[in-house]
Amino acid sequence: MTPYKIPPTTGPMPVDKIVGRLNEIEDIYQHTMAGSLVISMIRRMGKTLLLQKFAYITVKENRPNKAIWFDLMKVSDVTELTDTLLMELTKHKKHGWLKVQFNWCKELYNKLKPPEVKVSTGTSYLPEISFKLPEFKTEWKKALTACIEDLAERKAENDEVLTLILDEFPYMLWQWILNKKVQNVIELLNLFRSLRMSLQEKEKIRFIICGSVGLDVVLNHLRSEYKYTAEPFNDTKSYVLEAMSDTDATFLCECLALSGYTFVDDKMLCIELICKQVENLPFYINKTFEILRSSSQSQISLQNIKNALNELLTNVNDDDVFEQLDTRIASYYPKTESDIMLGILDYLSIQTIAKEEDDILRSVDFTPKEVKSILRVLCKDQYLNRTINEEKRYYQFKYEIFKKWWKLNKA
Amino acid sequence: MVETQQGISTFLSFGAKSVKPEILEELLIGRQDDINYLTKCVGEIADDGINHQIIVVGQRGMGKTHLLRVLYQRSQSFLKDKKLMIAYFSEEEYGISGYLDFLIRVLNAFIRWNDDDREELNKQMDILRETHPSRQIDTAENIITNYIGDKPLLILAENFDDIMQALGKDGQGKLRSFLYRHSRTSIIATSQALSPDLGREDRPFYNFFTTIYLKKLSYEDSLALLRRLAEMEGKDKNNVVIKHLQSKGIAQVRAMHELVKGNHRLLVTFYEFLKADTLATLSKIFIKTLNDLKPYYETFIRYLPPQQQKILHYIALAKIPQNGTEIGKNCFIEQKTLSKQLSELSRRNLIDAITDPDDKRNKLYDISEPLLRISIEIGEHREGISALFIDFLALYYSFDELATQKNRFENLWEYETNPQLKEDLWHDVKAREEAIDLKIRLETNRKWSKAFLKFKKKYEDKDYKIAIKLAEQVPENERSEEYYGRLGYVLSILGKYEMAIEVHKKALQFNPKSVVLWYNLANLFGTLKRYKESIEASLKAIEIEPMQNSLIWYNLGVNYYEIGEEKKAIEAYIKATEIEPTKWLAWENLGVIYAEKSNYAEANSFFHKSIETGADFIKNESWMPKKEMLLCVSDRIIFILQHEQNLTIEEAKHLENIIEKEYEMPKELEIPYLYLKTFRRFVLEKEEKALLELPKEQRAFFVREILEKRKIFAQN
Repeated sequence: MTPYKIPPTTGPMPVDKIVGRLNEIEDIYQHTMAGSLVISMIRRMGKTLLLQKFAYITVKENRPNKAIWFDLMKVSDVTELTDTLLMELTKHKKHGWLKVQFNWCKELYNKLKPPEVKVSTGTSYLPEISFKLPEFKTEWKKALTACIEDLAERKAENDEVLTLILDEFPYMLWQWILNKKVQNVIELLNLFRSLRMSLQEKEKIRFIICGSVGLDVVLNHLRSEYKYTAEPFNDTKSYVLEAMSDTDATFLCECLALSGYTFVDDKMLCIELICKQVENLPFYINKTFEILRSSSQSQISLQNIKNALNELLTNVNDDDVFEQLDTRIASYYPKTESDIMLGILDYLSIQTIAKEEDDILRSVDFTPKEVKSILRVLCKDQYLNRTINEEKRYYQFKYEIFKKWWKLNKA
Repeated sequence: MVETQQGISTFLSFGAKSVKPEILEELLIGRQDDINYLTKCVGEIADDGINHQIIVVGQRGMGKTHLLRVLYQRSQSFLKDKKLMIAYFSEEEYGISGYLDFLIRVLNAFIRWNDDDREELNKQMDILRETHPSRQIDTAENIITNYIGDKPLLILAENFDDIMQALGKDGQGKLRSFLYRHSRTSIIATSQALSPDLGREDRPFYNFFTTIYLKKLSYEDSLALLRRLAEMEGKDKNNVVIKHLQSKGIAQVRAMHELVKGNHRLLVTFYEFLKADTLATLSKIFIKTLNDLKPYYETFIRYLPPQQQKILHYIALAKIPQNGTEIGKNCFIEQKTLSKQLSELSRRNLIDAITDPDDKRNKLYDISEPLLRISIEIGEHREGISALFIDFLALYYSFDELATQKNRFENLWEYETNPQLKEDLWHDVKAREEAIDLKIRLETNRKWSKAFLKFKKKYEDKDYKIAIKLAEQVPENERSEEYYGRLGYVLSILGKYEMAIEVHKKALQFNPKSVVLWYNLANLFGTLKRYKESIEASLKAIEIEPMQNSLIWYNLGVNYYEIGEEKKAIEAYIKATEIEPTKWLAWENLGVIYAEKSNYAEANSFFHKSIETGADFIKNESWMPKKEMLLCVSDRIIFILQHEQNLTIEEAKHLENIIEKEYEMPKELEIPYLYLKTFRRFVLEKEEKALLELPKEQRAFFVREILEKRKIFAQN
């Protein structure tokens, strides 16, 4: 594929410009043919762009399994959830490929809507019905059920699967928890579980739950604080979004370089160094190019690339680029756990090799049970990698760049 | 476009958004790289199908509105070609209380800037007003997306940190969602500080934007901006500022530049300073400017939480950096609350955190902008506004500069005859005196290490040998321009010229714009006969203050002369005399050069000046032995008598008068005076007996060395 111009931006981009990740998309595709999926990864790893591209490809290539991407970050209230789904579904229905009648929704809507309220659609993509009206405040579960049931009853080809990508679903739940809407969270999780089970039987609908706030974080919080005991996603596979492949990372660099950069040293050597320095993490590739623009007049040399990494790791203006590694621990874990996490990360950041679990236990002042449990969480949260050698567990930072930052700024 | 566009006068009163675009484009100095990059980004959004999310961060008055206005103007071609839709928000987006308000602002921006679509968009707004509140957000989003169609949307917004705050976490989530769902939307926004929400992992816009930090204007940019303003103003009026900025005004620009810390808007405000004829007038303009700026600075403070207001007031009035313990105690704020408030004030760029030189683990806090401090003090000073002017002088100028100014005003005061101007000048002398006193008090209160204080004491006591030993003990973090400057001076006094040169170079690293340091360095090179390096150093000083210091020009002349560049030497001496018409040394050397070239007419004219200014030199300069200097004057009198064929009776009498009154007839000039008088009487007034009245041996000298040689020179 010929490289095309993209700027070093970290926000949304037209879906046809999203670089690479085709192998990951095929992996996810295969997973969703079999069942639902949970994708968790820290922020700015390109989850949303990947899933938007995934949905785009499945529809564009008319695959048997088509996906629809929903952004739930905007859903601040349970009453907004069904409307958010309906809005996106209406758009796809108008595009022609999604053949759904919304009969259950209409029936419910007509039954309860106040006759005097005019809900203006005004424009083409607004659905004719809305459950955000006060009359439906206590009926949100029925509305959501009706919406999913309508999807299940859509007119579909044989074996066609519909995947609903619920992006930022855990974030949405976490915000509800913070806004003291825990009961809604628990009820929604329970509803999802029952809907999923019934839809799984019909084998027509899959879910991809994705978010930077791990679903585990939400569920653990509910368990510890609200005695929540259900396992709404225990039968769902987890998928870890890793850094880009060498090919994708190289291609990303080539695309970025077209937006006004000049190679002073050998192009491929430079690109290789950029990718190596930031371990193929696309967000940090973008950041490197940003710094090369602002600090080196868009001149790419081997030395400038090294300087850019140094700036990335040490400049206070770029501090928050990594700060999430620290703050998310305080945001999502109780102090008893976060103290242990910080202690372990401090210790591992100054080690040159992977450390055996026993060494870690000796280095931090917590009980072995606590430390072992937290090591597991840190691995699930993608901070650490675990390897087993001669029946002993060894841990180290998953990404060297994170380790360097932690060592320079936190340890 | 519907806004009325104004000329340069509106720009001078801050209204960048309503100034004609071509004026704004011309005045966009120091931001060319930024505007060109942003213009390129808009082009890519329109032509290449890609997005940009950019926040431009800069303090108040750094030219953000100006930048965005020019960007909007430069984007017009894309709008005309229908490649792009722009929602250009008005600067003060008051009243955004949530996401719906944000969307309405987008629609209002379309209505404001797009005459053709206004009617249809107003109809859509009516529909929105009639829509049930629960669906207004969805409807507003749809109106926007329908209006822009498949074209990319660019939102140009100012004060984006305020918008983010107004949106709150919920609104931010909805906006982010909109951007991902309508993936051809870009935002280029400005902000005074980076919103904390952009750096927090649990916020929707975490690390979402590319950040461009606006740099403060460099001195060269400041000068260029003021010159451009003067040129533009001069198109309408006969502007004296243009000329002023080519000479003396350059030094004033430096003062203004330092004072406003490279802030565009304040620099433009202080433009009026350039119209002040004297520093006395400057004080009046200063007071007026501060009064005008007070409301502007009040907006810095008004919306701060009360605790932050208290802290800011305390630090401002303290004048010297304060540590956390003192701030907490005096503001009655607990330490744990205090650190949060201090870091918030730092984030807002209102205070600077400095490492405590006595204890590196501690921090001292100071007001980031001198003018903010002075503006806060306006409401606090019992002595009234004049005390503030003294503060201003003390905060800005160095001891040496204040002392020079004081001397200059004293001289001017002495010769001024207009009573009103004389009084003004006297106030200026007193103001400098008080500023020097205040500076001494401030310096005394500053926390310095004992080693540094001892070093300073010995330096001031002129105990240079001890001072040089103490200098080695001064901690590294106190080795500033002042330290190296003093040490360099000590070394030069002790004859360690090579070391003095190296130390001066270090001092210059701290302040490459110090005229005094460049001047000293030039002298050191000159002493070591390294004339070319001396010339380079002098030229550096001249580049900074071309028409301020006659000594620098004089030294330059000496060095050019030493390397045989007579023409350049003459030019330099002439400059020295233009700055200081009483510069005896320069007149003297000019005379010598022309005498060497046998151009006696020119030489004589310069020697006349030399004799006229010599008396003043004796009174003010003590470094040259008086006897030596008077012998030099004696030689010049003889030279004139030998060479000046057209000397008139009046000229001769004038010289006699100078020797009597100005020089007060010293012993060394008694005989030349006698020759001069005899010459007048015998040669010019044809009084035969005058020659005979000379004692015999002097008569022989007069005949042989003056009358005979005069004939020879006349024949030549």
